[in-house]
Amino acid sequence: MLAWSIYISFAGALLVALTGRHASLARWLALTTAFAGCVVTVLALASLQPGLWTTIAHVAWLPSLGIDYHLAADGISAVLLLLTGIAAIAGILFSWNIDHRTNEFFAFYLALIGGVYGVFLSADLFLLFVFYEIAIVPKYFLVAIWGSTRREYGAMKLALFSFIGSAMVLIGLIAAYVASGAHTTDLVTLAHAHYPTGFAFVFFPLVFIGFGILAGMWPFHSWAPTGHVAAPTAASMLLAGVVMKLGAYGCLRVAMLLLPDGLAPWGWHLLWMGSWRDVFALLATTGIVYGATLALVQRDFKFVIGYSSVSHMGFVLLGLMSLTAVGIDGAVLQMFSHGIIAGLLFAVVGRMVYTRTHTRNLDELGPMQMARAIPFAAVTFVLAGMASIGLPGFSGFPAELQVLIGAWHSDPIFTLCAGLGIVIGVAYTWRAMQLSFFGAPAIPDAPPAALPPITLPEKLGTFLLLACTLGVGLYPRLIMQWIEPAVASPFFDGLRKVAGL
Amino acid sequence: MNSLNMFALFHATMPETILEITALLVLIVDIAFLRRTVQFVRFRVGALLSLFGIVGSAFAVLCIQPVTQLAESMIVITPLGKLVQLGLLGITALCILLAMDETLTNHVGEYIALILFALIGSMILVSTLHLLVIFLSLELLSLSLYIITAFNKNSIQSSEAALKYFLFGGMSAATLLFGFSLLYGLSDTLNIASMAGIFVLQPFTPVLVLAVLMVIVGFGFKVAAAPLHWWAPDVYQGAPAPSAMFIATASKLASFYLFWNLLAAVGEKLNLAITPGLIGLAVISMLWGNLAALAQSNLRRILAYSAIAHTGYILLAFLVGGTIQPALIFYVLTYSIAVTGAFGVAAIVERQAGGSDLKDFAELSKRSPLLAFCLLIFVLSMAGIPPLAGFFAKFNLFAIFWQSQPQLWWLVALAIAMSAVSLYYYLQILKEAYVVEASESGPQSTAASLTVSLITKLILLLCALAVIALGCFPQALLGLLDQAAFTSF
Repeated sequence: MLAWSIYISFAGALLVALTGRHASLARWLALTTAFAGCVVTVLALASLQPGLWTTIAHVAWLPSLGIDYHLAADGISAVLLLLTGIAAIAGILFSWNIDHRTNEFFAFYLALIGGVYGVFLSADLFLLFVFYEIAIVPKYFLVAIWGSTRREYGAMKLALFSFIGSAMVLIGLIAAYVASGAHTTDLVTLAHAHYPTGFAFVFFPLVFIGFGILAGMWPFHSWAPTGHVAAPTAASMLLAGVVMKLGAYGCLRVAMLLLPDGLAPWGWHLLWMGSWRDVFALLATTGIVYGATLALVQRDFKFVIGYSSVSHMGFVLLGLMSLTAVGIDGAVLQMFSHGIIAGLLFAVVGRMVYTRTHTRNLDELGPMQMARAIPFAAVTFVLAGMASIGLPGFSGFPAELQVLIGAWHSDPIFTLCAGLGIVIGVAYTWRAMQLSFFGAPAIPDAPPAALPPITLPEKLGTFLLLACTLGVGLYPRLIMQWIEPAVASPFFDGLRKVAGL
Repeated sequence: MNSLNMFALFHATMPETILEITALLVLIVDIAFLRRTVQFVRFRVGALLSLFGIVGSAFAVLCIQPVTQLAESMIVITPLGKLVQLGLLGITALCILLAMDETLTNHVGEYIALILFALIGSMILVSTLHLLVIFLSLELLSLSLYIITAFNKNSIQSSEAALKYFLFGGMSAATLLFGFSLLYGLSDTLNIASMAGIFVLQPFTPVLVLAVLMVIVGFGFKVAAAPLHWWAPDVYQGAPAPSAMFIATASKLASFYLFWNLLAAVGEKLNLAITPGLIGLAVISMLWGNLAALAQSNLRRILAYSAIAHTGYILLAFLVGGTIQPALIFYVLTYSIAVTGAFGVAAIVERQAGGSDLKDFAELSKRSPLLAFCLLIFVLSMAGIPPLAGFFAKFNLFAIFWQSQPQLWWLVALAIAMSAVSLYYYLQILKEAYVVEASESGPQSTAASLTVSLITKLILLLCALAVIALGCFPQALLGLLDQAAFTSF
């Protein structure tokens, strides 16, 4: 039944594309599709065993190459599917105001969602790659057609970075397919295959970086801020909320499962780095601090959020590279949490503020007294900001805490640096909040700028996302019950062996 | 020498004979009855007649039994060769059907007949293993192509393209003929089926390497492998659309298939000597094709350079033995469908917007959503985006290549890396079609919606659906090719 989330999304995309000029029909159809996808996911998850990699569909596809159409899900996929469902609905609610080529917008949007569902459900490496690429193409059009600042540049950069990443993944995929000699692209079979010595040391980093590019890994992150800024609100919500998770999911599910030996020590040291694990943990930590620091000095509101995404995704990668159960649990929870929070932040900046004021410059926003003009947006941003800096009670707290605990076991120094990143995170969030919403008026006692009121779809979307981050923050088991058994499953045995657990 | 069985020969060349009669019929009908009617009618009648001929020929191809060793391999029909012939017929049918709206010439009958003659040349090319017949059919193909390239007399570009094509083609034919004569001199036979056996017994001589290298150079011209590609961009740009379509697809398919047969004939021993040459051609084609395409601003020139790049990928197949042949043909066939479609869209835009520069495609999605969608599918397939046919073709080719030549894996890595580069120029095309608004691209108003005849729409849509279907269910075609290749040996 889970597989229907994919089919519904693609069918919806096709239908929406055919609606022609009926903008409101396209909107409602898109919302219905996203809602149906989410409902199907939730219903199907109720009967899913989180600790088992349960096959949902398995059909021979290309027997001559040993490729199957094989869908399966476990707890980790479950969490990310849920995130996709929620983000899809929220994104549509926040793009209710799109009236330029509406049907095309939602068609690309739903095609993207369908691809994302597909990636999270694929149990066959070839199939995963197919869905992964399907998810990349619509991104380009969403950003290039409906975007704002330097949209064509941002879109092209985004697309090229993604395609370079996926080219690296494809090389790794073919290499693993050939080297395993198994004549199959089934993920589990390939993960248990024996590769020649040294193979993993070459191709693990290739695949990890290939996916890592999309996860915003420093120094390959530079597509993310420009892409986010150029993208229309819904697209930046999806980019930060879901698409960057595709990268992180690929790092975990493909790179780390397939070639865990690549994480083993090299046997020699270069600049204190003794394995690819050290290298990527360093890159992740650098990303955390670098992203946070740059967010601190931005003048464009959306760039602040864009760089904060890089910083937060650094936690995901750091958690993965801790190679501890706690750390990986935390990383997956952080994927979910950041997906929700980043979506909320982009919604405030892109939809609530920018479409009303037509500026994202913090200096210009200040005098408008936004907190008095649109108090709803201000409150939302304050709450989302609190969630983003990891205050207890919001989902960011249990996620980043677990990542830090996991990382402490392996790299105390990196953990300290990541902690520093959190402190900077408080600073940039506070600064952005202060400058944008609570600035002093240019003339004392001037009335706040007159702005259109917040619409109902925006409110609904806000409540949906806030409920998720609060719910998970107050009761993390809601999500952890899916993640923990999945990470503890025999599926990750290879990884545990390398980590020496 | 066996006595020649004329009846068997006639039977085996039935498909070509039918085409020959059709071509003459098209000529006669057009000249005798339609001289005074409008082009619209003439093109349609001609296309309809040739469609009948092509269908009849396809039936004949399906009916003939595989033949080997007829008249010293002058006619060799294998199951795989039959499939390639069907592919050639199908592609040519698409070219002719898409030519129906053309207004490029008053000599409609001659134009269509020449396309059919080119088709006959390519058909014979894939059903022979005899050097003399190869050369003759190659010349039939080439001479027809030179003429249909020059056919638009109102366009100076068309003439320029034809002249370049002719000069380069003539040189390549000379090289090829020299290579052939060396091969003949060394082996004392024109039958390449028996050549392999002779070369195995001979000591390794530099003259043989020279002969094979000359053959490679000759075919490098034909399939536009860099650095022997100089004619391609001008021909792709200057030739009338249906001619360019045929040159880019059917002529290539036949040449690749024949090249395969020739290389297989000279035997394993030579592979050591020619491998570096092939690797060089492949690498230069991939690099130059993709990098030069980045700088183009004309859709047809982009297609030309992308064709050079694709030739580079395809050449990888020639470094591997027999198992990769189905993958090779699958690649060329699916690529041909996409290219035919892309030229079809380009031809429509050219007729109504006056050119095929990228800016002429601005707002295509508004002017004709269907055309824009088709172009999207064709271009993404060429770029190798799943789930379209082009992606699977690449994956299949590269996976098999890596499996059989693990030490050359860097070639696959290079090919995939260059495909990532190619995304830039493919996206440039789609950017014009989908993203750019007319007000940004210039003062001229191109926003008028395009009028496209129903039949053209249907054909383009059919091509697009075929590209999608072959990408989602490649086994349908690949299974056929695999089976045919299996029974061909």
